[in-house]
Amino acid sequence: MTVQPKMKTTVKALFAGAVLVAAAPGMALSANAAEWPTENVRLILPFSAGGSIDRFARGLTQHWEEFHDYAMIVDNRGGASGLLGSRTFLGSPANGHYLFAGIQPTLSMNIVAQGADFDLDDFTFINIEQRDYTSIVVRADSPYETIEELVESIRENPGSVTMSMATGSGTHLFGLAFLDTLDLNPNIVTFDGGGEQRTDLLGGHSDAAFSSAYGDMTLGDQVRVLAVSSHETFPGWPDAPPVNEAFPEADLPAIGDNRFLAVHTSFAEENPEAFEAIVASYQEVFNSEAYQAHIENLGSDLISGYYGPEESKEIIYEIHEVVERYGDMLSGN
Amino acid sequence: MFDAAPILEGLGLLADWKVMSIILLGVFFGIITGAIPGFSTPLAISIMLPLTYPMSPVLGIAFLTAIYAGGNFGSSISSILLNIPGSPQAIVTGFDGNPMTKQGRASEALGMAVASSAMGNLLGAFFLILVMPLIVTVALMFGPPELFLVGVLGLTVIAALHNSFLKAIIAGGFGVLLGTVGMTSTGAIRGTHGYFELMDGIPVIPALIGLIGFSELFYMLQQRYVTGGSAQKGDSQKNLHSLLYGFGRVLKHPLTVLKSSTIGVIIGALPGAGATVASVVSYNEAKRSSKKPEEFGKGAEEGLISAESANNASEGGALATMLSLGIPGGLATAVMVGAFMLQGLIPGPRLFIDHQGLVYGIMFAQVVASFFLFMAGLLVSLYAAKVINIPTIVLIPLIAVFSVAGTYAISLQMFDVKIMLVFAALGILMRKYDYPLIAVILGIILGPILDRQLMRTFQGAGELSIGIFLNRPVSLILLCMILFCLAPIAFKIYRNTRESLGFARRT
Amino acid sequence: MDFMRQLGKKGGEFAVPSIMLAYATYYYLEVSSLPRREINLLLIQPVYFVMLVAFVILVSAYIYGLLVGRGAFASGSDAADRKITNKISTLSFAVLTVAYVFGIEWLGFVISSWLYMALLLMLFSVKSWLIIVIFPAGTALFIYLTFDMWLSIPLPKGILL
Repeated sequence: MTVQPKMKTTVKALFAGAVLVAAAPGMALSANAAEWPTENVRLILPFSAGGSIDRFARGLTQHWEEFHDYAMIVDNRGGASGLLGSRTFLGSPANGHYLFAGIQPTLSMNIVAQGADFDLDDFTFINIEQRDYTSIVVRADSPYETIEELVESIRENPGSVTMSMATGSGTHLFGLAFLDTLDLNPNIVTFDGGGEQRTDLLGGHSDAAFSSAYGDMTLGDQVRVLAVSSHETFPGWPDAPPVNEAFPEADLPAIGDNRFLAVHTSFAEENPEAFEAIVASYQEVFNSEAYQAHIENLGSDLISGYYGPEESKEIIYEIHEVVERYGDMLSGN
Repeated sequence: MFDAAPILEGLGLLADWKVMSIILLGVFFGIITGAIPGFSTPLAISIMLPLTYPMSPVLGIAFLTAIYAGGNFGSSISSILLNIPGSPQAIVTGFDGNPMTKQGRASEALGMAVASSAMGNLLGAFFLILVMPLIVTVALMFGPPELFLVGVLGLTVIAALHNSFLKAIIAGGFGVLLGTVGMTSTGAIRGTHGYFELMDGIPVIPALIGLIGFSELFYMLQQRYVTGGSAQKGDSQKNLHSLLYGFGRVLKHPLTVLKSSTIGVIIGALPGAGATVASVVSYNEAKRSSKKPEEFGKGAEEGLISAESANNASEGGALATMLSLGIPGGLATAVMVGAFMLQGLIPGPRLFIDHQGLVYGIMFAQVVASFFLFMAGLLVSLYAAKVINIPTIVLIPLIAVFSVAGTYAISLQMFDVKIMLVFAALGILMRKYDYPLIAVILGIILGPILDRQLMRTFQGAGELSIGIFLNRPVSLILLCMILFCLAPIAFKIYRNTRESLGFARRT
Repeated sequence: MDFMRQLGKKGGEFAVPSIMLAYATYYYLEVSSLPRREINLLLIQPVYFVMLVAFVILVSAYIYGLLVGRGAFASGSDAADRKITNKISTLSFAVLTVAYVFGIEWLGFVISSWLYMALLLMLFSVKSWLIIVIFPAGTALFIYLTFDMWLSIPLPKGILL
């Protein structure tokens, strides 16, 4: 569902245009500097309103709007774990005024496990703004105090330990990688979303869960996080060791949900200056005091950062490789 | 157990003209959109959802829950008058509501619906306030095996839906199979025929609008007016009189209201069940315990009252589970979970601890909404009753176009509209040969719950055995309830078979 | 062979359950061929089995009734008192509706709705040209303003509106 666009006056735009035309001769020297945006911008979100990525997108667009003269509209197009919205985005005009906010590895899972008809290189990434990590979590009154205890228990009695996963998300992928690398075979219960998974854990129906490290913070002292997937300690769970510290031989990639912004590759390739302008504009917003205060207020500053197009692309492709490795299991085999 | 401070805080949040007016606005919006065939309540809530982003939490949530309450009643208007339910939960209301319209008792039916809805809503709200903290503990006890049995309990109703038990079974089974279509949480993709749009399953609202709503249009075509060959005479004065008479009739059935509301709240609280199942179970129970069960389906007051009070009361239950656990009870509450998260609040066990005042505020807002529902409902019904005097040649194109627009608006896909057409064709066929449409809808709604929870039960135990269900106290209780519900049906089948065989032997 | 004739005449009785069972069978077989069969069929298998049994009983009971000479199978149902009498109008309505739905993507919502309603009104023998043109136009426009403008739900725009 779309938000009512802010009706910015076209007079303002016309005036700006007139000034530009008048100043054109003077600007001939800087002909490479591109103006962005030149019309209202739509941010397509392949998830329904209300999720964590929706809140991130709305917060961002509200602040970003202040930095230029046009409206930025969030367009929710949920369905099929983000697949439908991704296709909608790719079908939209590649003119730099349609942006995409997605989640990795969900995007790669669309491609590998759901047979999506697009590729990763159809997207050019601006930034991964939020990097969440996976937590291995148990209920506060669980007998497991450390991750080693849990792993040992699984090794001794595979059929008697139940772990839950939320499919379609980064935590699922990490869970698969973790179990596969350490060669563990607990009973795995799958859920469609984090909410159901958490309730199941709190009700004691599963022994442990692969969940979102940041998301679990809302449960506070009702749960205990045994380990996190990040390579360094996760600020929200200072007592939980990174998995690779507990099991150095595993050498697992730091996987979780990564929320990113992207544009059409076709647009970025044909209009490199305009793309630069978009990136620069975004960077300005991200680093602004107002926006930093906003994310601090929400608490999401713990997982937010600016990596830039190049590094973001690297991280995303790295995760894609992991998805491919587990492609079979992700497709229900 | 009850702290004075947060309760007062909650009340204080409501003592604001902005909150009051937004609740009134929400109720009106819900009623009117609910009444328009094609425009479903979950759609109405999801349209308004982004608008609540800048609002304060109590304002935004109260607004959306008011729409939900209004919509529960509003969808009954079109169900009663036109036999086209605006949303799934209004289907059962029409079982008796529409025959009443055909008997010339349209305003009376509407009056009953208003009163039942308002009272059901109020009772649901009281339950919510009094018992919500308890719900967390109880609901957490429901793991996959229990939730699966809840689904089965909902299914048992299908067996009693129709004279022909076999037809109901086949239709219901078909619906359940349709409900399993989509991508499972293990990654397997079933029955989508390559359509990405079906990965989340067959969309319920387009199926409903097509199966019941659009197919009804084909039957409407056969007559000049909705109620037959000629228009009903009446005027505002008479309508008002009938409305109030209907309201009075509800007061004559206090036990029905109470019992139905209780059933509604409990079922509403169970994850995934929702208002539709609540209304069906309540109706079934009212029929079973009535002195004149044969009148049900022909304009029995108790039928309408039980359905309407249950579906509004279920909102109280659904809110309880949603607020305390963050699990949605149905489509509408799923959207509302989103509303909370938009406000930066995570519905769940911590919500009550960290924001007690707000939660009480939301619960009291429900009480206010009940009163506004009553007033707004009466007002809208006064004019709504006149709709049946509009000739079908005008109604049909209007409803057809609105149905298409409303179906498209859900996910902005023409695919949904085509699904609607397919189900419309099925609906016509089923109506012609007298197969219960609601069995298919119930199947589609319950199918996903049954499938997912059974799968999780299997995953958690490594295998599937009856022992799993017998070893857990809550599932044992549920099993007994299921058997209890099935017993009368089994008995009836036994009796019928004996009769027909005995009858055949005589010739 | 009075029995066979009766069966043929009332054969339509089996249209619905046959379609349902046929789809169910196809679905069951399709899912069976997916990997990890036992987990995918957990619910589908018993439900299908129940449907199959119900279908068999239904057909057998009917044939039994015919053989014994009781004839009317659906005698209990009076829901069939709503018959489709106006066959031509009904068929035209169906065809128009399908054309409308597919036409939306081509011509856009507003224009298609306008055309659809106008044609329907003509089908219903509305005589006044004024009504045939104005009423649909008004409705289509109203929906456009409400959905597209006010609620920001963009309606499909084909080559026209």
